[in-house]
Amino acid sequence: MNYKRKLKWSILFGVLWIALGILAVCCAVFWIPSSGGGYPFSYLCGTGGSLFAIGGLSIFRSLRLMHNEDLCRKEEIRLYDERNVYIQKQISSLHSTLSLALLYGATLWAAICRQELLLPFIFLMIADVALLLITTAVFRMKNSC
Amino acid sequence: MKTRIAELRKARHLSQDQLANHVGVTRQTITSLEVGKYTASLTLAYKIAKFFGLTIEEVFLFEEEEEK
Repeated sequence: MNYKRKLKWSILFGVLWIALGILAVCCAVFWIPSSGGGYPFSYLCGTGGSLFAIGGLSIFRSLRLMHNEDLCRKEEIRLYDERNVYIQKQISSLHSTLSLALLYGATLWAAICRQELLLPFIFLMIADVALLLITTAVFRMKNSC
Repeated sequence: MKTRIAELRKARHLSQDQLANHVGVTRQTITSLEVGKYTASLTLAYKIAKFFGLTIEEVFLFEEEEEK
């Protein structure tokens, strides 16, 4: 996709995040207090605030790049630079391996110390392994010859 | 992989930034290629060789030992 077009999509998504953020905060303020407040209130407020900030930053960044050709070209080069893409893939790969190891560790900890948490952790672990298998199958099929 | 990028670039009085802009990568990628910390893809190797008006073999010095 053309980078300028990508920036336009980024603005559109920014507006969507802001709208969702406002909606989440409104839900927290007008709806949750009637059901007791507490954790859902802070969860929705936090999520709403974060979405609002992400949307705002995304719009600001995209508009700044759209109005500065030189900066836009540099950013496009930085984004598609093959070494950066290679590093990003290495980071993603290591991150997913470490996440899986962390989940295995947490499941083991739950099995030993907090047995009431064991079932959700086991479900998470199964879902994680299933996702890994599905992703592997999809990419193997896509790249088969 | 060893390359002649630095030598060829200096002979043409170009900065790393200028070469990077011509072939559409970042300056850091050119630095990594020059010091041999990164091996270019075939597309990038072709772009760099074409920029210098040489063949890929003349710019990138492949040594079989490196691959083992």
